[in-house]
Amino acid sequence: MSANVGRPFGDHDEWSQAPSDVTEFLEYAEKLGWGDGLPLVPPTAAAITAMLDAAGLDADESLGVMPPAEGLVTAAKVAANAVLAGCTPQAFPVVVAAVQAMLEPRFNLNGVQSTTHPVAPLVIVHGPVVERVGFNARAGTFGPGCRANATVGRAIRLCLLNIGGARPGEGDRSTQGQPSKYTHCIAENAAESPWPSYAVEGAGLSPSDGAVTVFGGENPHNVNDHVSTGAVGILSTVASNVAVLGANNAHYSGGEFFVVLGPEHAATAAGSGFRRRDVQMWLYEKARLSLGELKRGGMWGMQAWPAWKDSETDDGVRLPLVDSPDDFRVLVAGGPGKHSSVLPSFGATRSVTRRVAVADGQPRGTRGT
Amino acid sequence: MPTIEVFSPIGQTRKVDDSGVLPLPGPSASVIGILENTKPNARWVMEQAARAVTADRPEARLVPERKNSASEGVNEDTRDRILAAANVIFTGSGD
Repeated sequence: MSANVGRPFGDHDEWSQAPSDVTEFLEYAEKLGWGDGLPLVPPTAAAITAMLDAAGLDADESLGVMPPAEGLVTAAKVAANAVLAGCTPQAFPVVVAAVQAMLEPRFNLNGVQSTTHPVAPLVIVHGPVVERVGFNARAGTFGPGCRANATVGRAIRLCLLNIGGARPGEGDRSTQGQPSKYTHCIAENAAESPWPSYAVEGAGLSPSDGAVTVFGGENPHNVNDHVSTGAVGILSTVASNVAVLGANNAHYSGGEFFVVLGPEHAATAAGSGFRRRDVQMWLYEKARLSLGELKRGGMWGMQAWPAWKDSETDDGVRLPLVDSPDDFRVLVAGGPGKHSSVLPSFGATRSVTRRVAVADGQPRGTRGT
Repeated sequence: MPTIEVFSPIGQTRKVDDSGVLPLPGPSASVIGILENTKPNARWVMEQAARAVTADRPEARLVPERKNSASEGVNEDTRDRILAAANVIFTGSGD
């Protein structure tokens, strides 16, 4: 990059003079195609530098290339989008880790960005960074009211728009989109989980690690069960949300389901002696569709699933919607109440969990993970 | 009007090195590869397009290959097979 006098990073033509008035700045940014339709914070050098300092990253450090526009992902560009979104510097290492996770090949970001499916990356935050940065893991974790959840999720979306070129109708060909394309970030409620943290048991990280998981899926589908008093009852209700013909998982069994249990449902399941593995096994065995049902619509005829399924000829045989029990990704989030969520997958994507490195009790970016 | 200096959040894109790109075979192409993405009618549409392009050359042959899914790029085996067989390949933008 060329040197800039008075500009700490980037090329000369990447800097501009913008109105400082809040309303006029929004109009300016929208004309340049920077936004998501909501108000934006000006990405000044000072604000971007504060982000970079919090993550211990150099401005020009490359994190990869983001499809479909093949935009170069530098730390400064991610930081600029985090500033636009209203992130705090303390939360920025989480944004960086989530971006790095999305760029891993198994996430298939090109497909996630450009499909007609409404998929949006869900960011799940785990470990000590939840409390330190102030993420909401409890009541309303998927909803509004918490700056960390709202702005980290929004920063991810702005990166996908501005670096990856996922403008609706252009790089993003989603037929209808979904609200989680604005922001989609929750935190694991490890304190009220009857099982070890998802990042520990599911991804092999240490309890002292801060971590993020990214998952390419749909909006949460509510699971309302106010009556069941045991695991089988709760999971039967969950299974009714899993085994649906219209989800991509029905015919693309290489994907996953995220099953985000509310603490009360999780406690009920655990009260029946169910560990996380039992929940996964039960759903794998019970949350199925018959071959006859699968032939009725969805993506029948273009299914991408293992060869053994193609060998089945009995319309009554009930087929699993994932390739392995492990593909039911189970964690606890939310607050009091008898509700949980199921999030079907885009299908051609795998979730990625990545550590947010911590030094001296503070997040310091993700280098070396 | 008071102003502030701001940094563009738009990602720069890589400059494509097209020095190694071969010219299109044009009228001499005799084998047309069709990489269809599994979606209903995809193959029909691509075959129609290929037939239109080769309308004045009835001897032109179509070689179809099918991706594993519309949501992923073509795998290496399929890619190599169609590259070896065809002069020109009709495919989607993702591939």
